[in-house]
Amino acid sequence: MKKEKRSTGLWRGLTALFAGLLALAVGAQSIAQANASFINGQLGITNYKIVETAGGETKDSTYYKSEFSSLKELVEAKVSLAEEIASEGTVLLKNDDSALPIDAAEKVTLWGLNSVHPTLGGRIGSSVYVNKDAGQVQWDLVSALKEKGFSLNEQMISLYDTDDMTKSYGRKDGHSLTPSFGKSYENPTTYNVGEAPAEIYTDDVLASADGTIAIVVLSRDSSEAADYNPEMQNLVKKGKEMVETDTYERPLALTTNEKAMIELAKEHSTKVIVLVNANNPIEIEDLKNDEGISAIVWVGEPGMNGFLGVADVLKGAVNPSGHLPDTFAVSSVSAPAMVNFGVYLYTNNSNNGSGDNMLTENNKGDWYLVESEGIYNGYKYYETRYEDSVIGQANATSSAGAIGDEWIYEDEVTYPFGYGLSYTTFEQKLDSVEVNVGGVCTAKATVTNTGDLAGKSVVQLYVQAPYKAGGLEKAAVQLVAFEKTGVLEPGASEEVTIEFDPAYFASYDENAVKENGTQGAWVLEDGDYYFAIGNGAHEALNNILAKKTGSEDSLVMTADTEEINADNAAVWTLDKTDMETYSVGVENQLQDMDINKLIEGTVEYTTRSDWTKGWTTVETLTPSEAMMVGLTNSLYTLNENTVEGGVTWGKSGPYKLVDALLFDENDKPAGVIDFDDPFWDDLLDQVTLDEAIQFVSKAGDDLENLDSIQLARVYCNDGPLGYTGDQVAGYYVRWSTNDKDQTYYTAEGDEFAAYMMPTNPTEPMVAATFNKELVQREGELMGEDGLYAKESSIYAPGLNLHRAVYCARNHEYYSEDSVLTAYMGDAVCAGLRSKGTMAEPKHFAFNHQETNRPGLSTYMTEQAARENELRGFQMCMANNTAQGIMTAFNRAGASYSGAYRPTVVNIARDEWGYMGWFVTDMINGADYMNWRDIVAGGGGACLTSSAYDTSDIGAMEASKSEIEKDEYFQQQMKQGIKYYLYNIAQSNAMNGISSTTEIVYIRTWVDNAILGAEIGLGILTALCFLLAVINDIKSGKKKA
Amino acid sequence: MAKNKLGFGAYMSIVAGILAVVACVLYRTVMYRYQPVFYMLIGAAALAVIGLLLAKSVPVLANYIPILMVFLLFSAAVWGTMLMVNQIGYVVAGLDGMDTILSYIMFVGFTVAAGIVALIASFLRVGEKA
Repeated sequence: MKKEKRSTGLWRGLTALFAGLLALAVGAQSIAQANASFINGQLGITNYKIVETAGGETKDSTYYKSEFSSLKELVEAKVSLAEEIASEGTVLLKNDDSALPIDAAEKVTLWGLNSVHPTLGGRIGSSVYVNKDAGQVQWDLVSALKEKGFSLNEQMISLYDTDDMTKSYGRKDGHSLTPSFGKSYENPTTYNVGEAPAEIYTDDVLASADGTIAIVVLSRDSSEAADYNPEMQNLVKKGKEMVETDTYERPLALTTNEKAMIELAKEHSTKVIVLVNANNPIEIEDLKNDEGISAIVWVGEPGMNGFLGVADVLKGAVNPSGHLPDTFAVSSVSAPAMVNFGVYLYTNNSNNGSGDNMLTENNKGDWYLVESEGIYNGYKYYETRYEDSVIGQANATSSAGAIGDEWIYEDEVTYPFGYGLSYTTFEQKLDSVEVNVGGVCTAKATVTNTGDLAGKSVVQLYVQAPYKAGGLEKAAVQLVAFEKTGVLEPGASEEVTIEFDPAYFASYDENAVKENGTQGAWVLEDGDYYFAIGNGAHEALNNILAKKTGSEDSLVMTADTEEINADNAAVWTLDKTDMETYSVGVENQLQDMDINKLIEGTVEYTTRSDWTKGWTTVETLTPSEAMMVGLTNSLYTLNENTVEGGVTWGKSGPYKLVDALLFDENDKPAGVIDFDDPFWDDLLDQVTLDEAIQFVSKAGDDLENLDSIQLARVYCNDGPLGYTGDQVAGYYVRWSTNDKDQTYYTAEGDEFAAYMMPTNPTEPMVAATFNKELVQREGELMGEDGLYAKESSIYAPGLNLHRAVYCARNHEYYSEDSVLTAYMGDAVCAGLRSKGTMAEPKHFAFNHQETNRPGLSTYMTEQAARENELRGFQMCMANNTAQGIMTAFNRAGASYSGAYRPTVVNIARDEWGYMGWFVTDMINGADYMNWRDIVAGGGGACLTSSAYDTSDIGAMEASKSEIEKDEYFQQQMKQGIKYYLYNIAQSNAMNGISSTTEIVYIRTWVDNAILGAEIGLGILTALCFLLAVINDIKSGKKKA
Repeated sequence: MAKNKLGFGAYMSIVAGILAVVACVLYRTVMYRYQPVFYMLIGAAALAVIGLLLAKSVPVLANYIPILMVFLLFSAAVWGTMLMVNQIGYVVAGLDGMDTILSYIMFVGFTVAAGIVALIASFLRVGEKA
């Protein structure tokens, strides 16, 4: 009896055990399904294969071909290109007595703890990943200098390069910033610059530096999901305490330890060369003025290979030709953009109580950013105020916003935007400027190498549009276009022709009323337009002022190397204001992004009519009822409606996506069927609603097969440096053995298969090249990566503006200037497109602050939005070199940017003619980024994580019956899919697919293993349960 | 007629039920939550109480209650993990702080503990006939 009872307990227990394991297996299956792409990718498997159908006529289906015969060739070309970009993007700022280049035979001492831990890139999307185990090499400063033949002081390197030193003072792998995806109600407080105090230098070490050349490295790092803040402190965790190991006025100012280290370097070296290893401009005015500092070189964050290019410049193998993509201000907080940067909370934020009008955690809407600087971002502020201070206009010299009692240009700017030196000298002569409103305009310049060394020179063309006091805001100078010469030998000349488009310097007037009665226009006001060339914005403006005023008396030069030459400015006069030519289909769209239009008198914008304005922080804000609509994720509600002709899904039809491809008479690919052709409607009618739902929910990450039109799974990943290692850990990752017949199939065993792909320098350094051809080549090689890595698109480049120097994401964006951004972005997109890899720039739009970026409300004037941020995106979207666009995390005004129809549809599509698709940034369960608003707003599809599937607004499948009633919504879904298909058909995703192929599904071994476990555990559970019950019955009978 | 008694398994089930309630409270603070997990945890706690009631009247049936509890508790643990996979990835990759998954870890800890206690209870008797 007792034995039977014991065995009953045993069978019950085993039932419970197996039932528990069964529960785990069922859950694991769901997790595995939700992350199937990741798991399959890691395991190198897929759940389908493409097969040739019997009897079909087989033809070459490799539509996009590589220019390389092997992956090895591509990998080597990428290293070479990165080196070339870095050498052309290195900016020489100071070079007293020709301190540079260095004779590589001379011994060099590297100074600064960060010389052994330099920052190469950012964190997350633009991280530098390297697979050393696979033999891939990451070139830091030390290894690159040695590779290029420099003789280094090893004693100093040994002092720095210890775990103890790094732990006590240094940064881990060149980084201090910590990305955070969480919410912040306070500004970040700590930043470790990573410099050691002077006490670490022993007499022996100092003696080892005597008589050597000092290369001092000053470094600040970058990161997604992080920002700097002026109030930070240099605290380092030691044990349980935070210890202040260094002090600074601001994290972008020189620190006490850095200053002390520089003094030692000056004391013990024959000359001191400073390398500025940072994408956020550091305050280096003291170094510029310090006679003990011979040279200053900006090297940005040069990526995995870039220090090779920097070394080339230092030794003179390459003559520097880079120019600054950002202004180096004396004080990093002096720009009006810094007035409203940081954490600012709505009064009804979710942390501040509860009630009907309170925001909730789900809204992710607690924070706002008011861009009170208007159009005066970066050099447009410093240079415009400079002109007004010269001509005595509108309180320009007042103390408001000034470092001292009076605003004086030389107290404010260390190195202006566009500035850069060479080891040789060039004479640039502006020959002519021809302006043709509505057509192509040209400027011609002659560049002559007047020095002793061969080198390249950049011709930068700027314009000053006529400003009328108190009228439309206008920058005193703005970049219009630029060209770079080839290598000019000493004495050689080159005539440079620069084409430019007035659309890129027209001003946006929100009050203009056009002939058709609509309000808002791109305006060329009547008056004199001054075009000028110069070594940066400041020299160009000086040339303009000299031409305009006929005098150079009150003009200020930022460096001895600057010149003032009125002949390098030309005037063009427009007799009558033109507000029509560039305004076809244009009208005000972004009025609800201007906080003053929502809540009157909230902010005083920076204005050229009174420079004392624009310096007040908007400390608090209570959203209006209209703003709450966007802040509470309520932009669109599904409703029952019909559209003309109805909406068809899942219609049986003969078409495959590949049928959209056109071929010439030689059977070579010749584009796709026109977007407006009825073919696309027929094709889309074949797509099922379930597939469409899957598309909207998942297309941003890895789109599952669309069987109805025979589209195989396609992949898209970050980022601006190349496919990032944490998402695609090598060329082989996306391939499975099912693909082995494809042309660029990369087997795991290939020597270079596990090489990481983000090999490029960061974007500011790329921008500093001012070389469009080189940047297009960068795009081409990223596109080649797409072919060998089976990736059809890439979330790159980043095209947001460097609005505030304290934004730690600036490394993923090119510049403070929208035109430089536009040209760079267009070039890299064109390169990618030429290889069949879709460029998908990000983050559209207004991502200017990483702290609380999810849901941050961003307010600005429509003029500022259009002339600055949007202009940076316009070129690649209007030219359709970009085939996809990633929207931003932040809100535009109070509405989520990914669902903000004014930018996504009204401007991008209707004004610019953008034909690519839209996808969101990563939705990680945040309900303000929801499929309803995204689709209805024209935002296309979602980039989601597993958390989104079951969040309140994430479950799109569960809303299928409601969607079926809303035909307008379905129509919008179709439109989003159409844009995607139209572009993916023009990508390498079609390689291997032809009219004779079919997708065949197969079960992966992972699927089989989990199913086997479930069946096994199910049987065991049932068996044990049965035995327990039988035992119970038996024991019951015996007892009876 | 002799009165039925509570077995040691009943006390274990109650402990498991209490742990499930604690896990339920903790789950409210987890970053990404899945509503059915609440139901599973509350269901497990309710089963513990039902088991207690049945132990006196139908002890044979009560003895099977911990099996269901184990199933629900392990289900809660794994489904509660599903939405946190990405976040755990962020933390492991050093992209986000440990504090963002601390509640999750505690929730899983309590849920698994509850599951193990219920599993032990399933080997024992919840109710015994006198």
